[in-house]
Amino acid sequence: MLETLAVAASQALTLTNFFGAALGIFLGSLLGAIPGLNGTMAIALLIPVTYTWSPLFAIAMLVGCWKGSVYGGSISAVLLNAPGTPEAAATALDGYPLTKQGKAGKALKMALYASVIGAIFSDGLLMVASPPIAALALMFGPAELAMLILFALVVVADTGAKSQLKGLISTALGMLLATVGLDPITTQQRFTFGSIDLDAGIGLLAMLIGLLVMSEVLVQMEEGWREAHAEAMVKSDDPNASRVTWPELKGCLGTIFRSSILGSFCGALPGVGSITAAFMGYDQARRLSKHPERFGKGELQGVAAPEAANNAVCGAGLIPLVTLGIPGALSAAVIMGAFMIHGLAPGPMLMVEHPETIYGLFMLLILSDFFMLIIPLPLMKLGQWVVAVPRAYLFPVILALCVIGAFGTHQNLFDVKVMVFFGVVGYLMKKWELSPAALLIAFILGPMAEVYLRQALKISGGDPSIFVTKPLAALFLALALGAIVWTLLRNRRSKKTA
Amino acid sequence: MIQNRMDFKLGVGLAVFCVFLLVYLIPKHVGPLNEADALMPTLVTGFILLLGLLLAVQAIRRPAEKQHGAESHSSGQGSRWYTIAFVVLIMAAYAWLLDITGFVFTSLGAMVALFMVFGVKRWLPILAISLGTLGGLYLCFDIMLGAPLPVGTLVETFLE
Repeated sequence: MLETLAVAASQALTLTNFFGAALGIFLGSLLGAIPGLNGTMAIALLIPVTYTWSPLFAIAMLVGCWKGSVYGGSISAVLLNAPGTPEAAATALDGYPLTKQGKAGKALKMALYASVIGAIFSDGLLMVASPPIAALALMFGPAELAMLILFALVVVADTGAKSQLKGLISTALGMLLATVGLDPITTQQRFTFGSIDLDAGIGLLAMLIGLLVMSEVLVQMEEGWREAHAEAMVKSDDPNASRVTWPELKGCLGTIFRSSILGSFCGALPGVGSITAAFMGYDQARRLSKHPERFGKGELQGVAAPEAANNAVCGAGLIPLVTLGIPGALSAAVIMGAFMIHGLAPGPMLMVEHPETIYGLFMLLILSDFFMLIIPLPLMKLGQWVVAVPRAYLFPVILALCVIGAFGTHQNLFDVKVMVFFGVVGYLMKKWELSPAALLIAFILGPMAEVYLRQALKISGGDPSIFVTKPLAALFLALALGAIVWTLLRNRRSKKTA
Repeated sequence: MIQNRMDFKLGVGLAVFCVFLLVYLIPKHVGPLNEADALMPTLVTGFILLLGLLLAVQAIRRPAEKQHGAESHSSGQGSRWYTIAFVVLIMAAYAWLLDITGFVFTSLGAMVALFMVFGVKRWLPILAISLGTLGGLYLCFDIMLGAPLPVGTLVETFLE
């Protein structure tokens, strides 16, 4: 073990990798701060650039970008009351009132410290929890893994869909799209319609960019947007208005730790995500506060709690990914795409086959948390101009990046056409209240689910009872069915009360 | 009669598509439904068919939920459908022409067209941002990553 850690450290702790992690945080903070862009879009647009880089450098940069974008979202939330990312909406509740009091610097710094503490906590948990979970998962056979993926798919079906039914439809459509190309076992052509370009299946990256980035531009065009205007910042005479004092930080530490635990828990559970974590963190801070009446009027704990919680989601969100090969959230699914593009197949075998890379990545993640203390600082100064980039200027550039990003990875023009096609598909899905995120996660997990399902059936001689006679497989199957029933009942009840 | 027309159409459309898959596409482009290759597509299609029918039935009985107002960042005037269609058309042309007219000319043309669709009227920022983006992309992909961007068959012929 110590030898593995030493090798991992020698591979990971290089100046180049430090630069990768730092660059990711900078780009993530910058892109996350711009309303209309979010972390997932930023990661999707950056993946093509990382294609020729080493896996460690590339993934450290992409995860850094994820973390940076989560923090970056708070800059526009605090300065303009326009969250750059959805998870920063809770931060705006108290962050913007602080800005109106001339304490924007204090709010942004508290958000930064809370983010860093949340991220360190969650990365520590990732490092400690991953090896035993992966070791446990190694004991799973194809039947257990097939049912585990089924359970995960049912849980993530809720991601971004208006209803569980539509989430399940989106998931099933993703599974169906995953069957395009050569059969993973017999190499028989399926739905290729005689096209060689489709033999390898639908390009993941092209689909990802189309579904997440191009479609988002089309949706924002349809909904319309209000450009953020850089208003003159309110100045305060208080010398402490732009810094966090030690007593203030000390007063928030309890909240930050509780939110970090909550956020890590939400991150490790598939389908919960950072938006829920941020609001849960905010809510627990308000309920446990001695002065709940101050919340919503510029309470520092109201900034610290959601920021610690939503940043704690990132590291913990990688636990199901690296141990079970299941992305718990959309950003984790995009990161999973990056793992696959770099030849690393997420799952229990990842820690056996590439322990140096994984432990190296863990080290870089913790290190990047400390970079987060420094790198976004200039953005705080430039924040009010960065967040006000007009979207009429931004969107043509993003669309050009989509085209070249889709082309750049495989130098294949067919991928560009696929990207445009899925851009329209993603737009229509959002219009019909389906979930492109659930479709994408199912598309990534689909081939694995199929291989495990067929392997299990082969072992049992075609007898599907293997999924109920094996205790763990039966447990996951029961959990999946239970999740469907529970969500349908919950939907019904919430509609009745509405 | 039908409470939620959009969901009803979506459910029926999905169900019809699934029947088409089961009757024609899977047997013709995968294999007989009882073979291993067709197991997953058949299972998933059957599941979507079931969910599509459920959605259609639900749409008959349950009205659409009302939108609770637009989000804070989307309170502006939205684009009309033909503007969105125009952007899609530009993107499709961009994808198809990339091979013929190459990265530089296609990207420049597409970006200028997109800027105009998005309502930017001043030529200086249009050209500056377009050329800056193209330069950045060329530097990143062609020079740094060694992943050449398409020159275009027409441009190649002209250069020869």
